[in-house]
Amino acid sequence: MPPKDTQKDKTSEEEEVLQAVVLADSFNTRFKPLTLNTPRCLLPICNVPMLLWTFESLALAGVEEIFVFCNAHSDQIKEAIQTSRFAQPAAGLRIVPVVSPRTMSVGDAMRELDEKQLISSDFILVAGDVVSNLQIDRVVREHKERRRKNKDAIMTMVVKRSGAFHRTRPVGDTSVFVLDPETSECVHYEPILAEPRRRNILLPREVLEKHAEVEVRNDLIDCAIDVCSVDVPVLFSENFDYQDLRRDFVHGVLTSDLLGKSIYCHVVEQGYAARVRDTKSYAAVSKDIISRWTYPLVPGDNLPGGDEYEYRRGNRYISKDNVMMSRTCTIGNDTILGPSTRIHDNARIENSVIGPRCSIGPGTIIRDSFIWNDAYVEGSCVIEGCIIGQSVHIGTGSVVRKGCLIGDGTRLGPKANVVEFKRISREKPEDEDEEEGDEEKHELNGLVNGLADTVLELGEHAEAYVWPDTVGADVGADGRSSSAARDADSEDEETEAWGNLKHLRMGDEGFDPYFSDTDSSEEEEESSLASPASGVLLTPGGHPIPDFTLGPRSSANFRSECISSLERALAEGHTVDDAAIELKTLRMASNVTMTEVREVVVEFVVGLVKGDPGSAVQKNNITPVVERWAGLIINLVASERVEVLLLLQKTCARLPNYLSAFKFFLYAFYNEDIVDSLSIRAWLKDPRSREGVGKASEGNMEVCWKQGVQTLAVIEADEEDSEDEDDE
Amino acid sequence: MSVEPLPIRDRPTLKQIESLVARLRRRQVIGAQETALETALLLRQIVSVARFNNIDQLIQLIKSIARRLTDANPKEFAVGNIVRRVLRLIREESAAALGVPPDEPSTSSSPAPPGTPSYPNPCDLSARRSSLRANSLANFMIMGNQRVRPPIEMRHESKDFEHGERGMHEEHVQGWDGEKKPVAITVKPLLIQAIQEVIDELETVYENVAKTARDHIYDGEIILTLSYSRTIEQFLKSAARDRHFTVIVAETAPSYSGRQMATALSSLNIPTVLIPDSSIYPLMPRITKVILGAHAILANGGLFTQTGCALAAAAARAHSTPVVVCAGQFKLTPAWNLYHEYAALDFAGPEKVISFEEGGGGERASKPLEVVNPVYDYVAPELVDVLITNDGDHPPPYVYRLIKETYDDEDLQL
Repeated sequence: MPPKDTQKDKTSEEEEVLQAVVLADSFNTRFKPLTLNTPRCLLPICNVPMLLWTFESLALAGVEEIFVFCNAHSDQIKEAIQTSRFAQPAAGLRIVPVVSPRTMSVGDAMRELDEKQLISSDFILVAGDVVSNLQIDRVVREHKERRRKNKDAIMTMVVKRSGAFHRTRPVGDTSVFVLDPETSECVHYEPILAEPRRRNILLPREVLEKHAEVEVRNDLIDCAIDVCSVDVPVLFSENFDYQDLRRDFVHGVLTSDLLGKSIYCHVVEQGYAARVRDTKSYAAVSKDIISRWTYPLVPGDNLPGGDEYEYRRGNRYISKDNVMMSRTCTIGNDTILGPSTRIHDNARIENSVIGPRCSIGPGTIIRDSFIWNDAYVEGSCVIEGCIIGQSVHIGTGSVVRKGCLIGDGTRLGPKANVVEFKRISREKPEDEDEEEGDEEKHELNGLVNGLADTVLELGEHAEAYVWPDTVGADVGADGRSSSAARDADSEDEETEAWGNLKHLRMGDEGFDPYFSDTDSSEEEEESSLASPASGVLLTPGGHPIPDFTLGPRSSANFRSECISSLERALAEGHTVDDAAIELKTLRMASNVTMTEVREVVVEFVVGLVKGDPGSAVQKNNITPVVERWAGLIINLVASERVEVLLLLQKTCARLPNYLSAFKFFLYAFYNEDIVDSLSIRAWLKDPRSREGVGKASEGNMEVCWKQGVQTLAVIEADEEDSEDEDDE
Repeated sequence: MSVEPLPIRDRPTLKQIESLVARLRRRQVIGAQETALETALLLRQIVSVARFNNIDQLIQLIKSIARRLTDANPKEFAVGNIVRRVLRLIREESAAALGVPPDEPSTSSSPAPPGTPSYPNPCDLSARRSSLRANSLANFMIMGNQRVRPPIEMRHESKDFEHGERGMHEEHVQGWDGEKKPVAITVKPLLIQAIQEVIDELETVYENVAKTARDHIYDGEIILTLSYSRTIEQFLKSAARDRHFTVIVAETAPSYSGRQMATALSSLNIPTVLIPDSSIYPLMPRITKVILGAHAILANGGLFTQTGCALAAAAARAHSTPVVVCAGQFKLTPAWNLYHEYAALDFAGPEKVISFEEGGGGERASKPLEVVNPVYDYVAPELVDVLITNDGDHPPPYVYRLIKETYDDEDLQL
């Protein structure tokens, strides 16, 4: 017998089979529309499905049993597992797919794990999209060692040192770890988002009491590899509200005195591990693989998929299998060409990954892009910084700009021009009616582009739909973002979902979170946002997208959206906070100013008061209405009280029904602390309060102003009274 | 070829094959000697459990496994070399066992049964059909003397021992012969024995290379070496018994394996100086000999060897300093270097050269930093003066003959 086997026997005697749990689902939709037909973990990175990279890194660690939790497209995942070489009986791996359609988050998966009692001892928990060449077995050993001494050390997180601004550590999804340098215990964890930018974190005082020395580290990549003890799934079951592994679980365990559990970090200095979290880190991890940081897991060596590549100078990897390259084509640095790919005359490919069986037409230029299998790119195209899905057909002379995601099977006709950060798919975006899709598509195929000013064109023979820009869908799907958003208290925090995810898109230049305040490109992006609620169907002929341009139409649209949102809030009895959140999302999405929102809200609130002008009914209605909505107005007004008074004045002046009710509104506003006497005084002095908004209402403004003066007098009298009372 | 290899059914062996494939892929087996040894052990295991009706089947089986092994790490030539060695031995041994002497009449004459020529051997037919190396005298003549004779010399040392063994087994053959037992049972012990010899040879390779050390190193020499190589360590150790000399070791960035070499040598009480790689050229005038290890010796006499050796060899050429290469015979590789002028074959990750933090490029860096970290250098044959192997000393232009003698032509492409 060879020595290897005896060794193995010995280890299995000592400890149980090493198990791993792979979470094949990422529980967010950052890769849509690429993930419409393929589960995220089967998307290829460097021409190998991500799941296989994960398996390889687990096999490397000597894992013998892997449970794969899959949710979406579980049949595809099962099939991929069966056909991979890791499932061969001789590979010594047992891979068990666990289909759990109910799981909506990591927390659900862990609870299910606990329910099914699959785990017998310490196990490795990884995401299904991790690329790593680490020796995780060392971490497991370290973890077990620690657990022998301290039963409460329930988890070891693997983190890699990378520096704060590493490309593989994209702004937007990073975290600060506070570690005890002696024991590498993680004493505090804080997720960091790109937006809102934070300049400080709060460190609980107890941390410093317990630990003589702490390291605050903002230079670590969270590898999404954790060694967990059996207690972890149990804890998830006990705390049924834990969703995310980091934000809820780690944070919860660390901040809880009751649990008394501790979590450790393993800081990796040697070796590579990173998770593909989003399209941006997809690009970064691809680059890391191409520049061989994952060695020996690189094309041409131990590529998990098993294809053979030839490595040439300048990090060029050419498949050994039937690649046709024209004599005149240029293959630049950092490029992978998949098997059976054909590169035609004068094509130019730089810094890109071309999948198997692709065809790149003559004169086409491809830069910084990822083209998956069976794509067909005709001649004279320019493709920069984007991901092109499977079997996409791109017609002659097309241009695809950075950050675009082109879904599987899409057809972009000749001379298409896809602007930055567009997401395009063959299927209609989800929120549209799916049944009508086909008919409409065919109808529209006949349309010829007649609008010269359109920026975005899909070309004559396109079969494609453009997705709305905002990641509105993501907010819901990504439990983490929405929960963080709900907790938001400051004004900007609300935009987290979209504002933050924006930075996670491939090709997004990002910004320096510490030195620059705004980035011009960022603003441009925001201005081109479509409204989130409507999935805009772009006709293949290239009709303009109505919501793309800023202007009166956009704000009118916003106004109606806003009012309908408020009406919904009224009808369904939402809390004022919820309504405020919704408004902010709308505002960000449509890129309108705060003033405009206030205007709409004030008008809406005023409009709520029913009753004949000047009647007692109307007067009596005012107080409850204002009371109900005061929170919202306060939320929106912040310190701009004079502004809101001006708005109120304008509104009442414009609507004759409420002209006489202005003083009651004012009084109600005062009573609800929306405004105070100082601001009323300031408003009265403000020259704008005496200007006319329109010719007809000029007199009305004056009327309102006079009412204001009266009211102020009343209010001041009241105040004096109350002061007097206080004095007494 | 048309013969379908029979699959192996033995589970532990299958597992062992997978494990070696996986470890080769993952670079968990590193170093030519270790790989060679592992391969030989695996082959021994395969031969012992394989079921085959004729030798050709066995050969096909081994070749199919060998292909998997070489694909797992195409840069580790030792796998292929050992397989080729073993294949040749299998052919020889089986031919001898089945009564047709490929090399030496004496082997077959004594123990072979009288009825051997008409022995119903399925191997005969297929082997003849499939190719060059069959076991008839006619083929022997066609193949020509030159090709076949050298192996006799090569394996001279072990011959006596072998004879004894063979005799014993062949009696056995005779006994079974009457019952018409399959070839497998007859030749298996012989084959295992032959592979065992390869294993023994691999285990003693360092000592055998070092045997002639004192003939190559004189008193008062200043010797330059790079990187860490057990062969060279043994070689210098052996020389140090009779000679007094100084060794200069270049630290060999980025692996810095030269440091290990320097400490190893100084603990053997050999005067050792550790220098940075950058000093190789300026120090060359004072150096009397450059001793290098090799990862693979190619058919033209060139070498794939540790990074830095090309620099040392070129500097030595400029100063006409002799360059000596020490390597085991199993590193003879029937391959040619076609397109590497500098830095060859395998490129490691940038991690050893630069930290991830610095090398990754910032958030804004659109082009990643390109880091070249070659594992091996190519040293052209004209820069090498002599190759010292466990099979004697040879000039580089002679390597092609050694390869011809060591391997069968049909195995060049596995």
